[in-house]
Amino acid sequence: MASSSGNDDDLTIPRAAINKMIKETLPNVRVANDARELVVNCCTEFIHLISSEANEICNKSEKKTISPEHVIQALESLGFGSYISEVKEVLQECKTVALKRRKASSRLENLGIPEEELLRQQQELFAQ
Amino acid sequence: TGPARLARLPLARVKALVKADPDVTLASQEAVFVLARATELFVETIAKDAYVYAQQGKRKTLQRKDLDNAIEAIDEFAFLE
Repeated sequence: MASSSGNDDDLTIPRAAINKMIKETLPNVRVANDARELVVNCCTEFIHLISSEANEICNKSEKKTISPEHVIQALESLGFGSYISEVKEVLQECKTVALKRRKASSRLENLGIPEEELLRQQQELFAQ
Repeated sequence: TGPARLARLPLARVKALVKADPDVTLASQEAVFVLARATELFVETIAKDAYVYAQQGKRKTLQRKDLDNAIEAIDEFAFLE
């Protein structure tokens, strides 16, 4: 296996993660080792393919950061449009989580109670 | 919350792969997340597509040649040839 003193070219998705995914997809099927190896390498190629395309789309959009929308457009233009609806679900999860976090932290700030005071109050509650 | 998935790709590794492309400057965390999910779907798809060939060959073991066949047969996988 490639050592961690990495050469970027040796970067791949860990074999264990791929094995798990294959197992979930094809539960009662044996899979030859060289087939697994090929899937690992195909993943690397897939990631490079999509991110290159997303990067180009991003450049054309005059934005500096590749956004999820750029990735989605890349999937569409490269023939992976069937993945888009599921991919949008995780994006929705992301945004929901991020929104909750922002709300939670702004609520705390708005209370105007400094953290030490909150901790003190908590200690008192525990002592009861 | 969304459907639970048992196997997920490690986001840090996906991000490292994206950054390994010298042309790529920055990708947002959400973009990496979306790409990771797409890659998971890719694995599912190619495994299932390849398995069809194993079944045709009346085998219960998925072999490399099944993947090769799927790659050759399916247009979207042409980038893997």
